[in-house]
Amino acid sequence: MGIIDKIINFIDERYFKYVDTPGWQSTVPQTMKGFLEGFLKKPIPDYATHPMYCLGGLAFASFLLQIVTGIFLGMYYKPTPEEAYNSVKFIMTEVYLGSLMRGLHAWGANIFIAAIILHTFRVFFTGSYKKPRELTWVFGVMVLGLSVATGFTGYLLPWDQLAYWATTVGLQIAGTVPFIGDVVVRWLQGGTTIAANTLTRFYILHIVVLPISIFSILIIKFLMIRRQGISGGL
Amino acid sequence: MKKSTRREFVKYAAWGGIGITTLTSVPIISKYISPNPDWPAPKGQIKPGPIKIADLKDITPGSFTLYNFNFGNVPLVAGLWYLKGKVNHQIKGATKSTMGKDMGGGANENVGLPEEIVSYCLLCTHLGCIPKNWDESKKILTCPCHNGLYDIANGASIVGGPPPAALPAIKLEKRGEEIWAIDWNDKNYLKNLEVYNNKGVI
Repeated sequence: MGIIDKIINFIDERYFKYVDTPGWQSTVPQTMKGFLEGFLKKPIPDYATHPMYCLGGLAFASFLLQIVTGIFLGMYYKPTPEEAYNSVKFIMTEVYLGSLMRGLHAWGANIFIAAIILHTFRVFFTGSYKKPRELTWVFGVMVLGLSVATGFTGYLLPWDQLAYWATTVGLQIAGTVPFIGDVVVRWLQGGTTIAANTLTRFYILHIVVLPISIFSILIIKFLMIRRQGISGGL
Repeated sequence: MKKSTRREFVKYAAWGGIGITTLTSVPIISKYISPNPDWPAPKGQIKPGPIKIADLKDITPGSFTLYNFNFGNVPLVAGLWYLKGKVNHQIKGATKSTMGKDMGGGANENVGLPEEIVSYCLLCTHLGCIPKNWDESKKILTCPCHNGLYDIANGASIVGGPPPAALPAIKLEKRGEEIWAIDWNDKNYLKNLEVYNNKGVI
């Protein structure tokens, strides 16, 4: 018995094959092997190997890249008005390959959103959003919106002139929403001007709230795609 | 040798690629994470080690300036004097404090500088205040807390007040046209000073 089999057996005995209530039918596959095979060995139709069908996967890959590079940037970034710009400068000039890490994060953000938009076009023009996949489409649009929000909040974090004025413009646009615009702007700013509170709010949205929301929706979306399969194209 | 199928080849190539990428990223990521001793100190903090404290042209006889330094454990304040007149560096074991203890201050051992340039750490050996009331005519430094008096021209020895020992001297060095504070003149001397031990200087 090889080491991998031993590990699989170890997990099987403790999770997949273990049932504490006799007679209860588990929805989990009865072995880890069965689980992994069902998970990884789903056949893909021929038409889905076309590059246009890889855009969703590209978006997810760049999302994972954003998570990894974001964690590494977070090791040095300091979300206060005094330190934010200096810490970004520090990452760019002092940290080993820090400029590469920040470059990957900034360019990866663009690729992420571009891939999502192209993926949306693909789904739209192949009619893949039709029944039974309407909910998958709705979740996809949510991911698009949350991704743009993540990009917007991340843009403020370097705390330079570009970031400050981009956020000013963005929040003024948000302020034009009828009835609730003013409240939304005040909540996002954490005050009446863009200041320390805005930076910390955008920071926590950017690194915690929005990524976790995106990730949760993506899990639901992937489960649905697994269930429904990839639509048959035109 | 068994001929591998196309599927096997692709499989091994893919796993090999993933493996090589993962392995090579380990040292790079370790280097990214590990702090570099050459990084500049954060704002408001002083990097441990020798520090440039003045330009030679900026200090004239009779001048007294303060500077911050950090020889590895805690940041402290020190005074830099360019004294007028005779200076006695050799007072080891010669200082009698008012508390009756016999503790000599460190002699200044400056490299390449006039002997009138001296530097002492400004952390009162009594209770750790910063003695910086300087009387140029008497060459006496007074601690404002309990009126401890230090004779700077005589190795910062105590001439009055409650301090138990002289201020520790700092070794200076001329580097180009700059004055650098290098280290404590006598690290062993610090071990006898209770205040310095409590502050974690040693």
